[in-house]
Amino acid sequence: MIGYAPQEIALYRLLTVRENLSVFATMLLGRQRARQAADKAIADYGLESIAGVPVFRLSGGQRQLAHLAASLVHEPPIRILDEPTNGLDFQTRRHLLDLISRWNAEKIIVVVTAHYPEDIEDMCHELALIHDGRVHRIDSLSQFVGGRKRRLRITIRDGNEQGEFSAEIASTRLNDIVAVLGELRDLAHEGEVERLELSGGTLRQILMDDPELRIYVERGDPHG
Amino acid sequence: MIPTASGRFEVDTILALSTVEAKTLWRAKTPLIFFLALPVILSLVLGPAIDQIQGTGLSGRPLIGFAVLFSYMTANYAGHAFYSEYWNGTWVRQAMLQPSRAAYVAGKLGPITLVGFLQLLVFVVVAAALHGVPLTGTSLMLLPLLLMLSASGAALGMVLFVLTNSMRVFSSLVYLVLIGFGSLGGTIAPVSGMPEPWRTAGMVTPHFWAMRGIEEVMFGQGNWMVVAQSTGVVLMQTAVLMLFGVALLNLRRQKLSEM
Repeated sequence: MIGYAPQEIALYRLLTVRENLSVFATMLLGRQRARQAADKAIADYGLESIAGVPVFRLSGGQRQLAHLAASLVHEPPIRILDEPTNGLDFQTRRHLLDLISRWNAEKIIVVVTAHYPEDIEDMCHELALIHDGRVHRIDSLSQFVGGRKRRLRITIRDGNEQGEFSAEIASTRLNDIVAVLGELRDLAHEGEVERLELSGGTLRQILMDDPELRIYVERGDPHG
Repeated sequence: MIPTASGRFEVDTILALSTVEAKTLWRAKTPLIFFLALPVILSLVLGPAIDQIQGTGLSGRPLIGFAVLFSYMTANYAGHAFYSEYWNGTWVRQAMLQPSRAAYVAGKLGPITLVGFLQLLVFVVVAAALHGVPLTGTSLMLLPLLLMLSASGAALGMVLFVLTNSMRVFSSLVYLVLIGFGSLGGTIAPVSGMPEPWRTAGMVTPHFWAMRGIEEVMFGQGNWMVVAQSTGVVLMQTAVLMLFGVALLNLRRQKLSEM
C-alpha cells in the first residue's frame, strides 16, 4: 500500500486530531482496526497533547504533523511526502526528521519532494533527477554531492594580523583531506580561528550554480 | 496499492463520512438557526398577518409553511458537505481513495437528511399541539413524506454541487431555488391564491406536494390516498435528482476551495 501526504493540509477543520485520524483510518482500514491505528498514530507522531483539539485551533506545525499522521495512519510500506516541512518550526522539523530516520531503519520506502535542498540532504539517501517527465539520473546523495569540489577557507587572527588559508578539496577520501589539512602547519600556530567555512559541496550550492541541473540532464544517462 | 472502496469499505465509508458530517453540522451551529430559529421567528412575526390576509382560518398553516420552506436548507447544507472537502483540502484524499459514489453520497447526505426530517417532524407536531390541529389516523403516513421532502432537498443540493465549480456560485443558486421553489410550492402563501401560470409551475416543486399531503392530514379530510400520492411524487422527484447527481459526481474533479 502507498501512503501519500499531499502538500496542502487535508484535515477536517471542525474535527479534532483524533477524530480526523479515526475517519481516515476507518476509510482505509475498516472500523475494526481504526481505533487502534488512530491511537498508534497519535503516539508515533507525538500528538497526545493535541489529540482532542479541533484542527482549526492548531498551529501550522501541529497541523502539518497531524496531516502526516492522517495520511499515513494505515502505516503503508511506501510513503510519498510532498513538501513535508512546509510551515514547520525547528522543533517539529526535528521531530519529522527523527520519524523519517526511524522509517528508514524499518526499511520503509520514503519518497520526498522538496524545494529546500537542506530538506533533501536531511531526509534522503537517494536522489532522482527528473526533467521533462524523464528520470535522467539516480545517485546516492553522498555520491552526487561528494563528487563535487569543495573549498575550505580558514581565517586566522593573531593580534592585529589576519591570515587566510584556502584549499580545494576534490576528493572524498579521508587521507586526501588530511593531506590538505596538513598544509595548515605552514600557518602560524598562534592565533584564533576567526572563520571556518566549507563551501561548494552542498546541494544548495550545486543548485545555485546550476538551478535546473542542466549539466546532469545533458550528460546523465536516462533511466526511463 | 491504495485500497479502493469495495465490500466492507462501503459501510466504513458511509460511517466515516456521516460521522464527519454529523459532527460538522452540530459544531457549526448555523443549521440550528436556519432549520429551527428562522421558521419560528417568521411564523411569529408574519404568521398572524398571513392568516388574516388569507382568511383561511387555518391557524398553524404559516408555521408549517415556513418549516417546509426552511427544511429545504438541506439543499444548502448538502452543498456545504460536498464543498467542505475542498475547503478542508481533503478532496485529494477522496480522489485517491475513490470510494464508491453511492457510499460517498450516502455518507455525505445521510446526516443532513435526518436533520431536515427531524425539523419537519418537530414543527408538524408542535403546530398540531399548539394550534389544536387534530391529528387523524393517517398522520403516520406523513413520516415518509417528510423524509422524502428532506431527501429531495439534499439531492437537489448534490445536483447543484455537481453543476457548479465554486461555493459562491452554488450559494447564489441554492437561495434562488430555496425561495423560488418555496414560493411556487405554496409555503408562504397557498397556491390556490396564485394566478394560473404559477399554480401550474408550483406543481413541479416537492414543496407543493409536501404541503398538499401535510394540509390533507392536518387541515383536510385525512384522505390517505392524497398523502400517498404526494409521497409518491416527491419520492420520484428525489430518485431522479439522486440518480442525476450520482451519475455526474466526479471525486477527482478539482473545484475552487474558497468558502
